[in-house]
Amino acid sequence: MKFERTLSLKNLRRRPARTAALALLTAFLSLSVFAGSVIVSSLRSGLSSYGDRLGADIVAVPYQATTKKQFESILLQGIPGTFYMDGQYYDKICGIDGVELAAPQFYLASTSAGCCSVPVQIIGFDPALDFTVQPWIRDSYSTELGDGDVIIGSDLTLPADGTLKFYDTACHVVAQLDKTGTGLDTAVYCNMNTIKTMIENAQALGFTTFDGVDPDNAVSAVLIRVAEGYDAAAVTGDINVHVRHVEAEQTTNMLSGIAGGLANVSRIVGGLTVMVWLLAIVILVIAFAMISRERTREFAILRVMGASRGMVSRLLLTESALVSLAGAVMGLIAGALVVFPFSRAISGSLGMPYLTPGAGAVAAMAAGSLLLAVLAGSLTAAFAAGRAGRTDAGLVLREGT
Amino acid sequence: MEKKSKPVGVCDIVMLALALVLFIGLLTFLRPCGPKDDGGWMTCHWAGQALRGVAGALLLLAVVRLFVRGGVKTGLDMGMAVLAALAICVPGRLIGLCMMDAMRCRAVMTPGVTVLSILMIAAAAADMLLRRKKDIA
Repeated sequence: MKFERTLSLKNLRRRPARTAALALLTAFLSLSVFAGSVIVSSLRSGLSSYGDRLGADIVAVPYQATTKKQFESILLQGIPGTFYMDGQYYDKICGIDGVELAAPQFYLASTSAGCCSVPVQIIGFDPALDFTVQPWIRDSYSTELGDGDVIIGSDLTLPADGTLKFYDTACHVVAQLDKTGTGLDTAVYCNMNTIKTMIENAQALGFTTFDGVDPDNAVSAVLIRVAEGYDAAAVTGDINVHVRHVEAEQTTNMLSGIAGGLANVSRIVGGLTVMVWLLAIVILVIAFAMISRERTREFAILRVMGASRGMVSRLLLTESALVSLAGAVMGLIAGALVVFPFSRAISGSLGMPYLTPGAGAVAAMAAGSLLLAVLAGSLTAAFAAGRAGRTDAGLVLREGT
Repeated sequence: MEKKSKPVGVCDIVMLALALVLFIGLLTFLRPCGPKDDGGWMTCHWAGQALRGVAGALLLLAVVRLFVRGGVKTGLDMGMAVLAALAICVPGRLIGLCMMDAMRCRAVMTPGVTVLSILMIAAAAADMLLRRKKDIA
C-alpha cells in the first residue's frame, strides 16, 4: 500500500498541470455542496429567528404601510420606514374581542448624518405595554430603559464613548442585542419619551418630516397577542372589518411568505449544485478514462515488472483519491472565503433573514462535503482503474501502443 | 551548469492577478459607501482612499516582480506580504468604517479586501517556500 501511495504521489507531481486540473474539478464539487448547504442552512436559521423575534400573533399597521410593504422591509432588510396612524386606532384595536395584549410601537428614521450614509430605524416602545421587545432586551439589559437610553441591534458598532446622536439628541447606549439575522439587527430601541425628545429636536432643527405627527397621539404599528381560546385569523378579520384605515396581518402568514421564498432559494441552490456535480463528474470520468488510455504502456510495464492487476488498479484509485482530497480541501477553503466574509452581502442580496449556523453545524457540513467530494472523485476513477488492471501487458508491449 | 528558474512563474501571475483585482476592485465593485445626503463623506471613504494607495503599491511591486529574480524577488514577496497585511488592518482597525454592518464598506469592501489580501499573503509565502526549496536542491 505504501508503494502505491509513493508511486501515486510521484505520478501526480510529475504532471502538475493535469493534477491541478483534476483537483480543480473536485474543488467545484465540495465548493458547491458546502457553500450551498451553508447558505440554505443560514436562511433556515434566519427564518426560525424571525418567527421568534416577532413575538406577536398579529401585526396591525396603517393601510398605506402594507401596500408599500414598508413593515416587511423593516423586518427583512432593515430599510427604515416611517408611517403613522392616529392613536384612536390603537384604542379601537384594544376593544376588539380576543385581543389579550396590544403593544404600540413608534417608528422613526434617523438622518443619514447619524452614523452611516443611510438612515437607521429607531423603534420606540412603551415599556408598560410591550411584550415583544423587552423579552429580548432582558437577555442583554435587565433594568428598565430610562429616558435617553437606547439599545442597539447587533449589526451596529458600539460607539467608543457609548453615545449616539439622533436629531441632536444624545442617546446613551446601554446594551446591544444578540444577532437575529433580520433587519431588526440594524435598529435602535428606546422608550416613547426618548422618541418624543427626538421629534421635538428634529422640529427645532427645521426637519419637516414630522409635521402633523403628534408623538403623544400617534403610533406606527400595534403588535397583538390573541387571548386563549380565540382564533388569530378570526381576530385579524375582526380588526380589518371594524377598524378602518388599518391593515392587520397574522404573523404566520408573513412567515409563510418568507418560507415560500426560502423554498425557491433552496430549489435554485439545489439545482445549481446538481448541475455542477453532473458536469464535473462527467468530465472527471472522461478525464480518468483518457488518462488510463494514455498510460496503458506505463501500466503494462508495471505488470511486466511484477505488479499484480489489483496493484495497478489501486495505483490509479490512490491517485484519484489523493487528487480528490486536495481538490475537496481547496473547494472548502474557497467556499469558506466566500460564504462567511460575505454573509452580510449575501443576506442583503437575498433580502431574507439570514443567520449563519454555529461552528459545530458548519464543521459537520464541511466534513460531509469533503467526504462526498472525495468519494465522488474516487469513484469516477473506478471504471478507468478496472480497465487499467485488465491491461494485457504482452499485447500492449508487442504492439508498441 | 546552473539551472535557471523560469522568468515568469505561476506565483508571479497569481500575485499580479490578485493585485490587479484588488486595485480595480477598490475603484469599482469593492468601493466604499457613497456620499451622504448632505454631500459629506463617512470615514469609510478615507479608508477606501488609503486602500487604493496600498493596492496601487501592491500592483507596482507585482509588476516589478516579473522582471527580477533570486533574492530581490524574495524581498519583494516579503514587502507584498507586509503591504497585504496592512490592507487587512486599514478598514475598521486603522481607519473607522460606518457603524452599520449592512453598509457597503462593511458588507463588501472589508471582506473583499481581507480575502484578496489573505490570498496574496498565501501566494507570497508559497513563492518564498518554493524558491527556498529550489535553492536548497
